[in-house]
Amino acid sequence: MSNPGDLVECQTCHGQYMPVQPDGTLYFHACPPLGVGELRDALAAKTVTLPARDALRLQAALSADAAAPVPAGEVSRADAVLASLSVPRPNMRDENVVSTREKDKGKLKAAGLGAPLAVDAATGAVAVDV
Amino acid sequence: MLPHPPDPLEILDAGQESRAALFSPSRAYMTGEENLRVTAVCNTASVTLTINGRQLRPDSTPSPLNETLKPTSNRVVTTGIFGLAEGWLLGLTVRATAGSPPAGSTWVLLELVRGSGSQAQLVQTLGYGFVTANKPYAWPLSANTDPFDGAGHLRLIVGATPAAGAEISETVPTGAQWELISFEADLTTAVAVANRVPVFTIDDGANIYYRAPVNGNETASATWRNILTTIGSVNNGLLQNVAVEGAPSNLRLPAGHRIRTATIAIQGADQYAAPIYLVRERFTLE
Repeated sequence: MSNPGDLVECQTCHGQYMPVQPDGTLYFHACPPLGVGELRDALAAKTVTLPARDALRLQAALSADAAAPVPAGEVSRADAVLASLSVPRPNMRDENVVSTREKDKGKLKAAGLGAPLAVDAATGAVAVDV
Repeated sequence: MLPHPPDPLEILDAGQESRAALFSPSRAYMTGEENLRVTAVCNTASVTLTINGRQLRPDSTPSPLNETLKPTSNRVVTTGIFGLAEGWLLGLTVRATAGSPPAGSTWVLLELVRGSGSQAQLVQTLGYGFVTANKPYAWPLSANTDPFDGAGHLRLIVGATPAAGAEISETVPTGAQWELISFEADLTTAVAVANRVPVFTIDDGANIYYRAPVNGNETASATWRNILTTIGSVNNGLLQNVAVEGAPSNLRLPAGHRIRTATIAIQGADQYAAPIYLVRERFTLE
C-alpha cells in the first residue's frame, strides 16, 4: 500500500491520484467517462457505439450543424449532444470493492489495464510497468 | 383505583436477593457456549481495535478479556470471534489503540453468537456504535448509533487529476454515503481560443439527474475556479475567475453515484486540477 500523499497514475485514463489521502483514508479511483473529444474520436474509430436514441440525437445535431453551421467560437450542436452523454471509458478501472461483505474483501469492480503506476514526487515522472 | 405497588426491584438494596432468590450481576449470562463476535467497518488505514471486558465466573472469580481486531480500511466488514468463559459478562469496551481514526470513521457491532466462522449463529445483539482512540464504545453504557446516522465523518478529499482535455469524475465508494458540502474544480485553459463552460453533473453512474452550468464563459489562457456548493450561492456568474454554483441541499449520494464535470468546448490541452471537496461520509454496509 502507498504512503499517505503518494501519487499514482491510472494506466487506463492517465488520471493521477493519491490512493491514501493525507489523513489516512483511502481513495478509490474510478475512471471518468469519455470526454467530448475522446468520444468524438472513439465514434469515428467505431470503438464505441451509442444507444439508438443517443445516436439519433447526435445524427440530428450533425445534420443541423451541416445545414446551418454555428458561428465561430460557439459550440456545435453535435458537441453539445456529446457533452450531455455519459459513455463509459473502454477498459475503465474502478477500484471500488464489489460489496462490503467480508468475502468480497479485495475484489475490485474493474481492474482496467492494470494496477496504477507510481509517480515520482520530485520529477512527476511515471514509473515504468515491469 | 388502587395505586400500583412499588416495583420490588426498585427498593432492593445493592446485592440484595430478589424475591426469586436470584442475584444477577449482569443481564448477560454465558453458558460457556457463547462467543463474542465483533464486527467492524472502517475507512481509515492502520487502525487496530482493542476489546476489553470483564466476566464474573460462577465461582465469583473475575476474568478479564483482552482481544484485538484489525479492520480493513475499505469499509469491508471485518469480523472477529472471541471465546467467552461460563459466567456473567459484566462489561465490554472497544476503542482504537493504533491508528488515528477520526470521529465517525470506525463503527463496531458487538454480538453474542454460538459457533465460529461464517456459520456462527446469532444469539443476541449487545450494541453498536462509533469508536475513536479516545471515545470508546462501551457495553452496556454507550448509546447505540446506526452506521448511517449521526454527524458522519467530515472528509476533505483530494480527487484525481484527469489527463489533459479530460473531465473530472469522482465516485462515491462502495459502502459509503456522501453528503456533499463543497466541491472545487479548477480549470486551467490552454491558448486555444474557445469559450469553455464547465457543467457540474451528478449521476447514478449512468443517468444524470442534476446539472449546474457555470454562468459565464471561461476563456483561453487563464485559471478558473469552479465551485459547487450547498451553501446557497446559485449561478451568480464569474467574479475574479471564480464561479460558485448551487447544489441541492442535504444531498446524500449513495455508493456509485458520481460528481463530474462536463465542459462545453473543452480543448485538448485544457487541464483540470485535482478536485478538492468536503463531504460528510456515513457507512451503509451494502
